[in-house]
Amino acid sequence: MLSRPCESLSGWIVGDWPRKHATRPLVALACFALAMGVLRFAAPAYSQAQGDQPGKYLGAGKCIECHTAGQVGNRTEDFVLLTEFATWRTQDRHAFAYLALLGPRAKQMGDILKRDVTKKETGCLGCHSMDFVPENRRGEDFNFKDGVTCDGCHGPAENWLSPHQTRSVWRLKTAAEKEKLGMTDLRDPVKRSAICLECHVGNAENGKVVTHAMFAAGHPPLPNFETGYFSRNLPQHWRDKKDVPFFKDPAAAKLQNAPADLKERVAKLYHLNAGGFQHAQCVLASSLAGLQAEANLIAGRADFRAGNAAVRWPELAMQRLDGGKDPTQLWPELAMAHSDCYACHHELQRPSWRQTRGYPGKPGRPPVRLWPLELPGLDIGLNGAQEKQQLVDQLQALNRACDEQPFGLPKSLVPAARLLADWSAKLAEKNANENAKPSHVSLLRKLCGQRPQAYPDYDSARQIAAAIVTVSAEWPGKPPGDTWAKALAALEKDFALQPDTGRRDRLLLVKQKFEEVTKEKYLADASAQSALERVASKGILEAFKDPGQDAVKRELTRFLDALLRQGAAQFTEALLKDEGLAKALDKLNEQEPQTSLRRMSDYDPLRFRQQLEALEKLLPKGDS
Amino acid sequence: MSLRILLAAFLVGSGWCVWVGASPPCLPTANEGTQRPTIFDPPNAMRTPWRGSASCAFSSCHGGDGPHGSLRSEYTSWIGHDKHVRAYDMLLTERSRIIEKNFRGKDAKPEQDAACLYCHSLDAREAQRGLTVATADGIGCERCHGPAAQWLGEHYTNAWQTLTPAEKEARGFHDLKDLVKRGRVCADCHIGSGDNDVNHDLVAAGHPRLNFELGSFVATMPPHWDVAREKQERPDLEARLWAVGQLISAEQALQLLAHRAAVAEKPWPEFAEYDCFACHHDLRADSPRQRRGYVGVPGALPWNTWYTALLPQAEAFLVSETVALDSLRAEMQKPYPDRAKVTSMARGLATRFGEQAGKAASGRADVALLRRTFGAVAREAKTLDASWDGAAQSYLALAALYHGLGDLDPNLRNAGVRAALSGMGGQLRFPRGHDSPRQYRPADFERWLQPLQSFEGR
Repeated sequence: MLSRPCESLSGWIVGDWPRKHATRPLVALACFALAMGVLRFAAPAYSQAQGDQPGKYLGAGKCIECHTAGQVGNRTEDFVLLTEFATWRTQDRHAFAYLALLGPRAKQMGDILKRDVTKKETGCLGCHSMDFVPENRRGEDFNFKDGVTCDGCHGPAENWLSPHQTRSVWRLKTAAEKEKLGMTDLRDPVKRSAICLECHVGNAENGKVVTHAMFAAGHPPLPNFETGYFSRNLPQHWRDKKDVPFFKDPAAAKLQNAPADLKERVAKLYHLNAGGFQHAQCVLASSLAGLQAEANLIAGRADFRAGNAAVRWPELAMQRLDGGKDPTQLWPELAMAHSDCYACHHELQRPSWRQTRGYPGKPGRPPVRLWPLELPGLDIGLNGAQEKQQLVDQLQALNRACDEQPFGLPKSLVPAARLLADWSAKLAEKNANENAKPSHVSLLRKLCGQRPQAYPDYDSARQIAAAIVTVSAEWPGKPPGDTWAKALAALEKDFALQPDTGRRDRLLLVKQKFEEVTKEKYLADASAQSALERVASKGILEAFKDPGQDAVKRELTRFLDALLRQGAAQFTEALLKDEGLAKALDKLNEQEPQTSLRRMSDYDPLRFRQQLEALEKLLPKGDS
Repeated sequence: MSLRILLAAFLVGSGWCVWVGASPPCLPTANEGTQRPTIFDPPNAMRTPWRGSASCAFSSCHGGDGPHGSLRSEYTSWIGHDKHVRAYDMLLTERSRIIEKNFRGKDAKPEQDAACLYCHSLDAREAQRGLTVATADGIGCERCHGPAAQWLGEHYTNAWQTLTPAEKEARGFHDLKDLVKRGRVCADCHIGSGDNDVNHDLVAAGHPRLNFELGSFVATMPPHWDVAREKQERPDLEARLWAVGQLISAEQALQLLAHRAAVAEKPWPEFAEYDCFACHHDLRADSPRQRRGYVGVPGALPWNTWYTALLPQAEAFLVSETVALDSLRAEMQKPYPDRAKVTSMARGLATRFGEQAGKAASGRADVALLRRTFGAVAREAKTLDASWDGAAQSYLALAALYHGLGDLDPNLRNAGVRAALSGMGGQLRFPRGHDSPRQYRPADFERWLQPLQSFEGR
């Protein structure tokens, strides 16, 4: 048995509550704001980029110890499930991000680019690994080939590894205090979105750019990103509030020395007050976060005076016939990384809905990605006419810059995009402070209430559809009958919004590999496999609370224990050596773009508009 | 059904609106001074007035009631069969209104836009308007034959027959028997000249793409002249038109490129210079382009896949131009081509192609030469980078050369070759409702090349 770090004696059960915490958050917040203001000039401090947090990255190899096999010592499930590593390792595509660079698609890309895709300068590692972490900030168990690991999203653990184990203390720390130690507050939808969008939209400063050459060589198109929908589709390794034992247990508030308002305070610190509005809040956050990320990327790529050229423009490392090594000579090719793919890439059809729709500026001038503009355009995250007007003005400035020459004039794009990025960041922060919580219905009404002349492109429509599906899932007042459900199912089909269908297959592949490595069989029974999936979001206690499941539970814990014993590093190495596995995973990864590109070919904006109109008619009159 | 009709069906039926679709815009900001003089500006810069198509329509002159294409019924054939008649009517359609709205950004009237009228009617310049000119006549007689004010009274006299082409030209009359002249007249609108330019802005607004190929356009046009006699005089006419067409098209396209590059107010890079379908295709998870790979930087735009695809096969094309053409291509395929370099390179090449077109027009081909060219095109077709443009140019070239061969020696007409050619045409067709080759697969096209390669040596 591996040694596991000892939990502090003061847990929930013993109950030893710190008493002085009332004034700390403000001080910490002020320090934090000050620190971040210095670190990241111009960009507001509210959301951070990967790598901005202090401390060393310890790697998944550290987290495996407590977050794999359930209950550890007297530490038990409450907020955390203690099986997070297992979920990530077996089901989450982030764990295979580096492995994807070893598959046949990546090989084809490397051949076409005439570059080694696993080399830093090619630019793939920025998102497909933890390689963005500098050498001097890597812990002993850190392995950049682990893919996108725990600390990739949660932040470098050096300074919080120990404190976060002392539950009673850690629970009452504010997000700002935790961030000061390096932990990102992922329960805050704005901060979560910002971390996701680093890669899922891109970030030039941090070397996270999919260039046009990479796309041409075979990188799948980046789909639209709505945080709520993506969170729902991620193999969930956290609990929703309704499932957290702490909130369900009436005794929890009566613990010795516990403050009287313990539950309320914890709920607030964990952004759990919204209850059934969790994912809907992500929709709200997505609106401005998407706009900010896109605007940031534009500014970061178009600003030729900015430093760190090799990171910012991976194109410079490409073997070029024209020998271009000066980024100014590579425009507008550079712009293609943040432009709307489908403005150019579509079959020419007659009649053409694009021509019927018309163009915001000159025809034939490729626009920036359109989907990040869609939710703000529907007033989501905006409060009132003044903000609406500001958005319209700023988008017009951006459009004008795009019109000045095909793909935009860099020196006009930079100020326009910077302004938009800062504006959306400030607005997001303001919204968070005001804790804006519109009702499900009012949000759905905005989403379904298309402007009569609107012709959203496929990705923009998909952004709306994803938001509708996300909000609807939490809406307690769904209309009776199956009309609503059917209309929603049609949307899900048209926009390929079904949850990741390859998850089970991926799990089986990893299990098979694990059996090969350990020379033992696990989870032979299908019910044991689905138990592992269930455990992902429910935890072992919840998943096996019905009697008569002891055998399955035993089988599952045997697997989890073995996973823990195996350790992260060795298993990762074994995975990376298996070409057959990389190939099989590639095949699973193909399914998603295949389906969505087919749907995109068949997309008809008029049909989408009718779908929205039908949904809108089903919404209740009031705001309930 | 003759292959020529197949050609016509292909051009019209496949959704190319090249025939009447030309409406070059006149960008308001462009500098008038840099505009290349068009063929309608006589050398002495005197602007000869039009007389209008009605002035040709007397029943005793060109408005007779003979069968289509017969002598003295030229006007009748034109007004009854030729789509040029309806060029102006096109401006009144809903589609034109959408194009104009997208292009000008307001509810403008395309039928009053000088940029549209230049190619959709007789030029609307006031100075050139005679009393009998009707804009609504579309592309009338004088638009190709030349403004008639100075030759109308003279051209039916015996004295007219003794004038040289140059003397006729001085009066404003274009000698369209001269294949170079004919080609340039067509190309003025069907490729564009100076500010009369169907650029990417206008195409995005909804105007059909222009892709001109002289031989097939002449074959597709309902003739109002005696084609049989023309072929008697020049048995290699089909093949000659193809070769001349390659060179004058390149000349015109490069002149246009030079103008696009030279005028700072014009969009740059100008996407109409590049292969439309390199970008305009639905993305597919299983991409034939990625399987094929790329010649230069992946994702760079391939330049001029239409007018230069088969140019080196034209007999008067000098191998020495290949280097110059390749350097222009290299410059154009950079992310942001150097405007000044492109202007001077394109101008130089255009001049030389113009000279070579003259040589190609005066040459005379025999069966051996046409067979050699046929074989070379059939072989080259496989290496044309799998673009639809290259394949379509190959098809048009092979069809023209096949017709030329058949005209020189009727024994060479061959059902197998005809079948292969029409098979190729079928592969190139756009699906219904499309202006792009959604279903085109290079491998399927190349299968039809097999029987053609053996035809060369037979």
